[in-house]
Amino acid sequence: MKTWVMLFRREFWENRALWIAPLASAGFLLAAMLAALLGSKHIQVHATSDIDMSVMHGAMGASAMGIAGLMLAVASLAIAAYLIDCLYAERRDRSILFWKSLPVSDAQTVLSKFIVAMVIVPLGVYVTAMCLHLLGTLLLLVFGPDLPLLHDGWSVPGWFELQLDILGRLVLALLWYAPLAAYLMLASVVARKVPMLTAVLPPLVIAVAERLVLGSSDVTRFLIGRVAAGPFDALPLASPGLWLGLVAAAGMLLLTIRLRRYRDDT
Amino acid sequence: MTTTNAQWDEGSPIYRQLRDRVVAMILEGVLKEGDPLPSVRQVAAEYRLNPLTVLKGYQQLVDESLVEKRRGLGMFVSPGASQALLKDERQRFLDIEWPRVQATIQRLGLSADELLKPDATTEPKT
Amino acid sequence: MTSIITATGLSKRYRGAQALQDATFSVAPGRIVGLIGRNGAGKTTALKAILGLTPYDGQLQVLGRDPATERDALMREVAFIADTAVLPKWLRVRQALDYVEGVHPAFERAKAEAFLQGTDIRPERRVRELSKGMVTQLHLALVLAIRARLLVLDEPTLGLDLLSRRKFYDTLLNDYMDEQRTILVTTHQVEEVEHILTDVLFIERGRIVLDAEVETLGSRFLLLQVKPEQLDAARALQPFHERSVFGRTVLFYENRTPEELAALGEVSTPGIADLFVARMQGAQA
Repeated sequence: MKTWVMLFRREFWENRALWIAPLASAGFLLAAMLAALLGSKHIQVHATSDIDMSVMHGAMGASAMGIAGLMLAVASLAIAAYLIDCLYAERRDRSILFWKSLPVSDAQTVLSKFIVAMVIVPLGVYVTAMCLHLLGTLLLLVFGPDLPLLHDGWSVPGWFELQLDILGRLVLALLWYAPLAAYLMLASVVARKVPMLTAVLPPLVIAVAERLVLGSSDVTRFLIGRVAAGPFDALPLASPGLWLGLVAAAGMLLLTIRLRRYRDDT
Repeated sequence: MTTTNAQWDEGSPIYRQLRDRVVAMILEGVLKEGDPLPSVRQVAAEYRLNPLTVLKGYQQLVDESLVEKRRGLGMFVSPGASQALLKDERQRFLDIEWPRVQATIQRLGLSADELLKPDATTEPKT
Repeated sequence: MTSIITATGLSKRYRGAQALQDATFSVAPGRIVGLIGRNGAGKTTALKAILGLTPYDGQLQVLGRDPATERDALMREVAFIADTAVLPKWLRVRQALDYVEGVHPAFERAKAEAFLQGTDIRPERRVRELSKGMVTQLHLALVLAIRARLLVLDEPTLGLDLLSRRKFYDTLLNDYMDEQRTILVTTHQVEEVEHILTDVLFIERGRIVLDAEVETLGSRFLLLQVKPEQLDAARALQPFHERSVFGRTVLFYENRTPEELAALGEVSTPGIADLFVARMQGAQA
């Protein structure tokens, strides 16, 4: 256990963007919220008896998703950049010979990076978004324009239900994107020069080849579909695509581990 | 490129002789307390010795508390080393050598005055 | 006593070149072994095989394990420095200590800190802020604080100034006293290590051309600074190498007695560096 914690810490030491990007986006959102709050003081709110409860709920839901969505979008860029470099950086600066001189298996190395990318950072971002939303809601309650409906519309169980819903969608999205993450890691262990190229080229070649040879773009559309699904799309858990994707992800991770075994600084 | 094996006795193990040399240097004051010993590498190089032999000799000195190892810095003469050695020498003299000399003095019938006079020429007592 | 490393018929081919060819050797416990060879002779390949970093043909046992299949277990008992320039530049000294402590069960942090005590290396500094010599000191401090039975060093002093190199080997030997590890060091700078080795392995073009204890070299090899008039007689005794220095000829013999050569000039034991050069050039001829 101690080893895993150290491996995770090491990833954050080396890749500061993983925690700086989420914090920066959180800071930006906080500033935006405060600005909006200050601005709203000047707005007079009239009789609110005709405002629908569902609108309040909707507003709360939308704001929560908005915050989480924005933060996750920023985080996914940082995560993608991290994944594509994570097994290449150690070869570029030759530090792989130091890491390999210690009793950490290739499996531990690969999996710790995958876990950082697909579990720790996303959950960390989620918790931060949740806190930010809570903070925003409280600020609105205390300092915002007096909306009695706000006091009524807001409830603790309702808030938790909302956050759980977001978490559920996030987990589904993580499962959906697992094969993409594994693919990026595979590219980073295989790449000899520019990992980005190594990752982008094969699907590009496939797309072009398919067009030229078969005249179709089904594969292309499939690949795009895998990448473009938003984190909050309602993906059914029973979708076969999800589970096949997980199998593919597992396969790619195993391959990555095998390939790292005999990698050195050459 | 000449071999320097000739410097070492065939009699006792080399590491022992190395230890004895360092002890002699401490007693003579050539090596004072806190002085660094030459590195194992230097001694092995200069005297063409197996480095493990040199290490063994140094270990002997550490075991006798005459020399201490400071990690990352080297080997240094321990404080109180020369006193300890002197004390040992004195004890050995008193316990072993002096009784022998004493016995000889008695056998020869020499008196204290005769012994302590710088250039005494003695006559056997008649 | 079981040997620490046993290699039988070790071979490795890279595309186009045979890096190791039927290399057979063994390393006994408690020895300080030098694997000496020119650049490209196969030293690094041999080390990589020993450390399980590359596949190989033939048989290899390290600390009773097969590096190809039991690498993870092996790494708990082997410490190595593959060139001093491999510590990641972004790592802070404190983080390096934390990391090794976190992943290595046999690491004694206090020992490493004691090593660093006598240096200018501050815990918050990053590797990129340290001089080459300091990086080496840090790496060595980390490695020596690991209770490993085998220590493998691949050209550990490459690129260092003379003082740093001396300090490296001094520290290594000083620490060796407590640990009694087996040390395997490769280098092409023979003069630097010749006085700290107990055994030598000469490697050339992937083959082991000499495997001997340093103490036996004196009885096996002799060097003769021949008197000019005795040159023909000396040559008749079949030296394996000959060299002229300032008009004086120096001849190298194997398995001759000092008595046979005494009349012909000054007889002595060649140093490892001389022997290496003579053997390499002799092999070419």
